[in-house]
Formats: sequence, C-alpha cells, structure tokens
Amino acid sequence: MFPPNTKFLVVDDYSTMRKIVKKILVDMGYTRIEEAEDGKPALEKITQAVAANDAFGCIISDWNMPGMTGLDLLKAVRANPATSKTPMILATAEGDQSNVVEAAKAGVSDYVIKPFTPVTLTEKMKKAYARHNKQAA
Amino acid sequence: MSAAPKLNTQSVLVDKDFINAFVQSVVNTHKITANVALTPGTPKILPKIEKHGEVTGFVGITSQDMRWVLSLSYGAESAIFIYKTMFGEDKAKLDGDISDLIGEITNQVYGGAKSLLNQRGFAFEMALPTVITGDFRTHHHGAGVTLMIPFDLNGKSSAIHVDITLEK
Repeated sequence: MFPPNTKFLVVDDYSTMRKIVKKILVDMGYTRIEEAEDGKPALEKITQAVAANDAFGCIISDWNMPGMTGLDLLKAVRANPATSKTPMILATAEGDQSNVVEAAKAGVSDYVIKPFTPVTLTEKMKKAYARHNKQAA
Repeated sequence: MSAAPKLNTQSVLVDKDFINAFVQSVVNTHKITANVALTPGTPKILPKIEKHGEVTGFVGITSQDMRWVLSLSYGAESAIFIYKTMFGEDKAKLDGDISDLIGEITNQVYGGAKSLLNQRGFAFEMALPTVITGDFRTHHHGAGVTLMIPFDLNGKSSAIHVDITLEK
C-alpha cells in the first residue's frame, strides 16, 4: 500500500466527492492531500509539484468534468516522462465497459465506479500501488 | 450486448425494467454515498414536470432520437438531513455545499441507471447535471410526459421525488 507520507491529488468538479475521498484518505492516516476542481488546474498542480521535486504519489480523479476530463488528464500525465509512472485512479459514475477499455488503453492504474465505499477505494488503491511497484521492480 | 431495444414514447415510461433501473440507482446511490435508506413509493405518470422541493438536480439525457430530463427534487429539510448524515455538519439552510451534494448525487444516479440500461442495449450518453435551488419553471416541447417516483426518507413520506420527463 502507499506509504504514509504519500502525497495525493484528488480531482473532482464536485466538492462533495473531493470531501468524501479526502475523508477516506484521512481515515487511512494520510495527511498530504491536495485538491483540484478540474483537469486543468490539476495538471498545473502536477507540473508544479514535479518542478518543486515533490511529485504526487497518487492521483485520484473524476472522469466526467466540464473543463478537462479525467481521461484527458490521464493522457497528459502519461505523456509526460516525469509523471508517466504516477499511479492514477479514475472514478466515475459511468460504468460502461467501453469506458473501462478506453481508460485501460490510456494507462489507468485502476478504475472505481461511483458510488463506492471506503473499502472499495482502499482495494483499488492497493491494486494500483501493487501494479506500479511491480512495474518498477 | 443485445441489440438496442427501440424506444417507444408511449410505452417506455411504464416499462418495468426502465423504471427499476432508476429506482435501483436512486436507492443504491443514497445508501452508499449518503448512508441513508430510501423507500420507493408508487410511480405516477404526470402530464408535466412539477416542482416538488426546494433544491433540484437536473440532467439532460439523449438516447436514440429521444430527449429526456432526469430530475431529483429534495425538500430543504431532507437535503439538510442527508448532508448532516454524510458530513456531520448541521446546516441551518440550503447553501452551495448542499447544492453541490445534490449535483453529485444526481450525477451518480444517472450514471448508475445509464449503466444498467446500456447493458440492455440502450445508448444513453454522458451528461453533466445542473442544480437549481428555489423556484423554477419548465417549458415542454413535444411529448412532455413525466414519470414521477416518490421516495420516503427517515420516516418522511415522499421526501424525495425523481422525475423522468420525456421531452421529445
């Protein structure tokens, strides 16, 4: 699982979902949590964090957002060599198989369908961490 | 996936599977995201959408050549109760946090119903909800028929109304 000092970025256009995800992370003991309300400000934060040599260790993003979607954010993250290996979980209310395939092709670390429980998100985080650590090993 | 069933403006709003997809998604979303239990009442067909509460989440939907509006309406008391159950914060009145919550719930309810119906071959598209607090008026073009499903919450009868309005 992600180490306690991991820095998280939670991206969602609804503050409700950011609060829910943040609460789950806090309950798990994480303290370094930042938020963005859309893909564009998220990408700025990701770029700034890399420049400051304090990159995010995990990004949890909504898919369906009005400015830059979570899928486009994922593609941008994967296209940047500095962040291409960053674990990224997409959360969405759209559970269609075509969405899962599209996200997998773009290199998503894992995928969680809303509504989800804390247990479900925790399991997805464990899988995402294991997948990236396996790749790094 | 099976072939897309041809939607019929006269019958789809009384189609058991169609109604159950929305009922299931409404109950599931409120249970998991908001930790509240809803009990569905008897669906009714109304000639038009009616204002039921103080805060309403809307989402426009397209499928095949038809256009719909899904709306979830909450009385202020019910919306405040749900917010308090989720975040432990007591609000004296409706505010932006509660509107945001109703928008996200509307988003999840539509997403859940969409997934269930698309598994049956429907072709509902992604959409973003909007939330209106206070009074509103609606204008219908074409069919303008509404399926209204009431839900009981915390002992309060018809605390939440879900309307599925066929616009075209």
